Amino acid sequence: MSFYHKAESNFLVTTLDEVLNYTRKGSLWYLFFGLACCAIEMMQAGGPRTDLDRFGVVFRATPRQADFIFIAGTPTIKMADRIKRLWDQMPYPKYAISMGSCSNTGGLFQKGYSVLNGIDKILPIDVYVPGCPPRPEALTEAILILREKVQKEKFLRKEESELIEEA
Amino acid sequence: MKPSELLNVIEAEFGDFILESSDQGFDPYIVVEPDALRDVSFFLRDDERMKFDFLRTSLGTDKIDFIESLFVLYSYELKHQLIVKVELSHKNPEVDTVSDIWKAANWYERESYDLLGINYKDHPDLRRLMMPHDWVGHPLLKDYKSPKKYHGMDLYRFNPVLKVTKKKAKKKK
Amino acid sequence: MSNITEKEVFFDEMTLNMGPHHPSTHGVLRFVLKTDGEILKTAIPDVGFLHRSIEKIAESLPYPQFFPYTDRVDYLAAMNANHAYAVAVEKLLGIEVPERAEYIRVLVAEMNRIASHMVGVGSLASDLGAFTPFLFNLRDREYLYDYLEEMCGARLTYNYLSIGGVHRDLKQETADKILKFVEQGIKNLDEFNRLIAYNKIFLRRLAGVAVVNKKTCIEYGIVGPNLRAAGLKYDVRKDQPYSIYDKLDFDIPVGEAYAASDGGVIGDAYDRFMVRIKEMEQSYKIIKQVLKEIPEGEIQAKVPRKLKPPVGDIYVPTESARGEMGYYIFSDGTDKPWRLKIRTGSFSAMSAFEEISNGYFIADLVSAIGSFDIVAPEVDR
Repeated sequence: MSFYHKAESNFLVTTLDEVLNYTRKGSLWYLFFGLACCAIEMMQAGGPRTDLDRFGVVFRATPRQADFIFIAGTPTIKMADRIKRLWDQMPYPKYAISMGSCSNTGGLFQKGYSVLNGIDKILPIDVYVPGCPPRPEALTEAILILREKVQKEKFLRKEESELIEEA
Repeated sequence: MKPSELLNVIEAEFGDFILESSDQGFDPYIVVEPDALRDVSFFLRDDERMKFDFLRTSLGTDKIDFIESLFVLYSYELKHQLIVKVELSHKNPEVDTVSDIWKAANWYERESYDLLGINYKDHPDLRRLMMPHDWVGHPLLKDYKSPKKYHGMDLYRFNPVLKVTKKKAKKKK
Repeated sequence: MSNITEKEVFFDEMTLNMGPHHPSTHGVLRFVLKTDGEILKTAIPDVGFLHRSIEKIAESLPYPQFFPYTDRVDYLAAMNANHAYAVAVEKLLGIEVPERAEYIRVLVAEMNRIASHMVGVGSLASDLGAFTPFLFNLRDREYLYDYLEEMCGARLTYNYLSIGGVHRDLKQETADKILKFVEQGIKNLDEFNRLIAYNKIFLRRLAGVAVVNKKTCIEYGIVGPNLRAAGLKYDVRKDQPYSIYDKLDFDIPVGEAYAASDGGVIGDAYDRFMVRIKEMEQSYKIIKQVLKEIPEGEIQAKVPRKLKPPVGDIYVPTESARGEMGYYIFSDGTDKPWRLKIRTGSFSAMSAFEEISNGYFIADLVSAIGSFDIVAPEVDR
């Protein structure tokens, strides 16, 4: 859908899904949830230079207001249960970005006895960002990819039971 | 006070309870009989010549033959450092707590209990510090093997790079 | 209802949970609060949510390969953690570091100390509701990161120091840029102070809160800026100098009840905040000196390919941004450490929380955590 076409008679034809997705992707709110080193780069990404606010990406302190979550840091097995609980508390449609090597695969700490090797063992991940830690620019790229994904969603054409299964 | 004088004073005071002492290595250290640890600790903290008021760190080490519990002490006033060691058996790693002498020892002892299974007698709150409360085993022991599963989570991850390097290593042989 | 006594009704103890996901716990710290209404009886910390088994991993790695892990022990001041490990291993092996490398090490360590304190004081302000000062500090940090990136190629986790030196030389143009930034940085610090440090609301939220006196500090082994705020003038850089700190001229700021006009006493949260601000000034001073006096020459000492230190154990303290960071290494004569233990400042500060949190409001706990500048991986490792 594009608003740039000249709508002479003041109307345009599109699907309802596309309109909803277009509005949704403009205000993706994320859960402010830092685990380790990557949280600092997440903060820097929200800072003045790589300003995430320009995409409508704002941090929220509670999972109930969040659209997506950054898994920013090393998920340890003691923390894993808590991350799962936070994820369950988020209303769907919800997304997850795995930030950094540790949450992708375990990274440097793969040999450690107390590290969950990869956050995708407990929750579904939409975008993986490599790096240890990734630069703020990489995070911006991840959000752009997520926006594309949000635009392609087809919620209204699905049954509710299907959506729950996906989530 | 010089390290050698320091050790002499302690040895003169406690004699047989000091199993070993040296200032030849990097840091001066003494090895104390486990039963005498509290007496030595009180002396080190309160005596005019010692005044070790700052417990820098405390840790445990698995040395195969025995488990060592170790305290690094420093005096803010007299500016000298001493390492106090206690050797404990693998079967029954038990020693008196010093957490009431230096309050900092409280958490260090909990950490040693968690990671090495050293049992500090009369500790006010001896729980696991780092690992989950239902964890089995003490990870820093040398013969520790980490579990494959915890709370239904699979802790193993297939690493394609490692497999390739192993194959290469086999071919070279 | 009859079996509830009057005492239970009026003196009810409530147990609350705070964390591990809480925006003002600075990472993943958890507190179990025992409260009487709004007043805290005690806050029991529960840690270990970021325990990444670094000490166990160290036992399976040769000495130089452990450097990337030291970055992640304290990600806010990674250079200081690098420096601490390098100093410890060099002392164990008896390696002399070239003078230029020492100067570069001190330069990057002090730059990182400033960057770390910026987050420390900034996030304290943002926890208390003032978000703008934090953004100002994030802006300045970007510049510091740029220069560190020019020197070593990474923004946050550097792995810049090597045993016996540093990996890359300092270019003259980078040095000029840093010198230029120092002038700007001092001005920006002034701007930050005008923005928040003398703000009346901010002062009242911090003055007289979470007072830790000298005796408690020593008993619990609290170190670094938190100890100095309690009035004890102790800094490893001055008292047990390592590297080239004995040649440099700088002061150690101590707590002097800076918020006395609003009921502050020595060792309260505002003193800890102010000591950090003053330490940043001193770090700028050190950077200026280092850039002025830095000699030409080698940056890497000759080190054998396989490092095999003699049998023995060593404890080497250094001054990180969060206080004394010491490495205890027990070497059994092979190229891997038998046991390695990292002593950090946040761990001891956290262990004292149970005692010092008694008697304050729940809201004051946030300013207490912020003023101690606790970083989760330093507690858990």
